[in-house]
Amino acid sequence: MSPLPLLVVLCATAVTGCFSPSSGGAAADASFDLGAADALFDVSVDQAPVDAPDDTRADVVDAASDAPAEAAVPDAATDHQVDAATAVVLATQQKQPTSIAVDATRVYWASWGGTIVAVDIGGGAATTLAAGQGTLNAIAVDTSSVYWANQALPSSGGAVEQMPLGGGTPTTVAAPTRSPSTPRASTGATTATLPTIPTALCRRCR
Amino acid sequence: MPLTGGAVTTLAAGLVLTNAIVVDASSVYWVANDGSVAKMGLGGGAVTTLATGTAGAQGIAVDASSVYWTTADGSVRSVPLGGGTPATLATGQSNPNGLAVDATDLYWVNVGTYGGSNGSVNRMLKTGGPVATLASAQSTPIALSIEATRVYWANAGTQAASYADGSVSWVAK
Repeated sequence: MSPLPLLVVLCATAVTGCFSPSSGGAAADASFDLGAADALFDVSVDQAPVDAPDDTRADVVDAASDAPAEAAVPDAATDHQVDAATAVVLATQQKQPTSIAVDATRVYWASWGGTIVAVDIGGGAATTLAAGQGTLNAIAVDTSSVYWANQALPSSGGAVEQMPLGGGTPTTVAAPTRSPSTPRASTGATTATLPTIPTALCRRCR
Repeated sequence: MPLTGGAVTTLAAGLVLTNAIVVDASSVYWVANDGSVAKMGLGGGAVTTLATGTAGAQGIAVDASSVYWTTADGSVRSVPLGGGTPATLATGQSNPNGLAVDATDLYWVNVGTYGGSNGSVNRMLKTGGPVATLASAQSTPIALSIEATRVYWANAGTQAASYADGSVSWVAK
């Protein structure tokens, strides 16, 4: 896929704390360097992780992506506090995934590194459906298409892109005609198959 | 806007840094960095503010009765779809972000320390109660999605690896 000729922003307010393109460690460090003004953003909230006592209940297994283990949660239905869940890793070495969606057969994610990737929910090799898409921070799927938000550069707007679930050429379904400095409600696609999916089209963008 | 593109209709403008958005059959709901939760009909119209005054709102989910959201100061909250007094369902969460809801439970990620490896995936009954940890020691989990039996989430990765070590995982509900 070729990079979008015009990289645009859905949320153009100058905010700090967004994931950086992280072309290097320094950039990533800067991205997460918080000042007092960022207190509203979750990055700087320095709390003791209250879930620490629960750590022993979660047995995270880095299973090979092509051989996911079945999770065993015999008591999950009856006891919300006793978990024997085993996490199954479907993909690793991904370039900063920032959003995720799932349908009946595959899980899809968009990465800050500009890729749309999918993998079968049963595991296996991940498929890159699109690359070079800019800085992506939201994804949604319906029965025919995958949609994502391209945040791109802070000075150039943003876009909502669409592509068939199986891949193909992304098409721009929405691009801004507004000043990048004017925040607004984002144009969001949501999944058609799930009860609710938080679709963050503007998550702490820079 | 049609799924395949077309004219973009601005339903509301002048909003304060909208962080997350979700729709149901009739309305669009969003949360913002000023801690506000609001809704509006899918066709536009007046914006109804459902809650204000919380810390920056991060993730949002909606079911038939309530809007749920996570806040930057570590809480999970809810308010009836028609408005009313917000309820605090959980506190002390470490940077809670992406949130989803099904018939019985809420699911969300605690980012933990950005760039670190102390994030988690959590679940609790919609009615409140103790928080169960479904996965811990996660590297900046930022988003999750649920289906009938599983919770999927994406880890953005670690700062030490310049966020090139992101991952996608699932765990049974």
